[in-house]
Amino acid sequence: MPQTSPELTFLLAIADLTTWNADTQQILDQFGHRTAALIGQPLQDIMRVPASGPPDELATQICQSKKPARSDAAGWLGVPIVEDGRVSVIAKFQTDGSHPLSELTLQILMSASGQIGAFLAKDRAQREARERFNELRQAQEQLIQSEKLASLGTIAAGVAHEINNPLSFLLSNLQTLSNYVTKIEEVIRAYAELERYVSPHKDARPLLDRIGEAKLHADLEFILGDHHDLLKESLEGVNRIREIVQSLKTFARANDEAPQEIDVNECILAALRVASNELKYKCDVRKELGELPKISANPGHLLQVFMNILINAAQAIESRGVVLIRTWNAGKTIRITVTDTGSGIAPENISRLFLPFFTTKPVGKGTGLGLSVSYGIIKNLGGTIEVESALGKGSTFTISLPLAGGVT
Amino acid sequence: MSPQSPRTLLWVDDEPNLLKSYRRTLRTEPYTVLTAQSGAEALALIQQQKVQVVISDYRMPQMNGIELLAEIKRIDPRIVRVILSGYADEASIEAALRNGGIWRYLLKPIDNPDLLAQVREMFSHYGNGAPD
Repeated sequence: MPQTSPELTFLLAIADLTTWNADTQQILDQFGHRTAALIGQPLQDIMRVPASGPPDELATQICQSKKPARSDAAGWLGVPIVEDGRVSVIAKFQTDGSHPLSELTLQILMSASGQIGAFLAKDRAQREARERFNELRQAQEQLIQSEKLASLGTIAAGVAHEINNPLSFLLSNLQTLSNYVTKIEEVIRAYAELERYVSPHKDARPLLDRIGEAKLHADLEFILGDHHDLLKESLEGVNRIREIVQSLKTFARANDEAPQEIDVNECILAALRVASNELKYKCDVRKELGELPKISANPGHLLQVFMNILINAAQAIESRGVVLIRTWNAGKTIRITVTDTGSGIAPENISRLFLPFFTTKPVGKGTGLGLSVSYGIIKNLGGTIEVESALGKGSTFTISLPLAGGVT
Repeated sequence: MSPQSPRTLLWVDDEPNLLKSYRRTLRTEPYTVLTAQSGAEALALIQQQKVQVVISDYRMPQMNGIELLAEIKRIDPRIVRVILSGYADEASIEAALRNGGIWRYLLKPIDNPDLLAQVREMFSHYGNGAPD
């Protein structure tokens, strides 16, 4: 236990302190004479509750007493908590405004026997410092998360470039092969005609038998029936890889292109035109587009962001629903919200939404890159993209983009 | 250009499998296809043979596609010059398109039918007043 001040001795006289910490000591030292009035008074007078009793009863009485008895007590903070047979409540006391610590918060722990377990004092400055610390920590976590996303994106873009060349000759060769096989098939069919023609010839018999055996062994009829599907599916696969590679390359390109002065509303209207196939059958698209100043951005990239979000909105709606697009000038930023009445996003998926390759869509339907690419694009513009969602009710994506001069 | 005139295409890419695949695609077309795996090799070929069209990759060791095509433009500005690439520095592509360094920029991968149509266009562009 640290050295005690005279006031503290008073406090000790009325309370059985079982826990203590240096913070408390420091705070009480700083408060000094201002807390003196408080210290040494009977607990009942401060708390307006009996000094002893079962914890539940103490908690109830504290709740009913609305505020501590003393005139300089501003009130209770929160409700008393009963835990391990002890009642804990935070009381707030006002001091005169001259002191930097204008507010004193005491956490009062009471045992069932009415003994005070601990006085943990906290002042507002300390609380504010803690809040700031928490904010900073949160910001840092966000930064780490976005850096992680960015480096994942860079790696993905590098991989995409490496995949592109083999992909190119794979695509070309598969198309050529498809051509070859069609021609070979023609030749085989022509030979089959010849087989029928020469079959009466007895000299041809052994040769025809060999051919028949080879056909059987090769399962020729099956092969001739299957090869079209086989090549078609392979080409489908290559095209899917091609789309993924295309999306991944946007990560690397995000910084390359020169930005232009663009009208975000026009960009949204263009995205609606491009995505109209997805939207027109089941979505009632409503627009509330406010007047916006132009911003400096790459129109192609922004178009991609809006398309991704609009297509997601459309796909979240099963049969019929509403997609509401709102834009407004929020002073330092432009805000864009896209709200859908679709299926919503499960809470456990929200945090993974912007990760590359994360998708809840069926295989082949989504690459899991749309939102991560969008995230990268918006981040590069110095903006933010956020999502709110309720399962079964729908989702809202909110994009904030800084106005000219906002980006450093 | 008349149908009798020789039509020679030079393809430059540092990936030999790609050059082979392009050769296959163009095999039945009425073009002579030359291939080179580097800018230096391409420039050597240009000195020896008459070429109407050059299609080049962008990212290659030593000399990139834009640099190569700028050099080819200097040698013979009538040659139709095209970049076919999966990735290129967009700013330099844009500049080359604007100042006539290249006629067209195509994105890899490209479908065979599309490629054939593009090559046909390249040859018909030759002589139709070459770029610049």
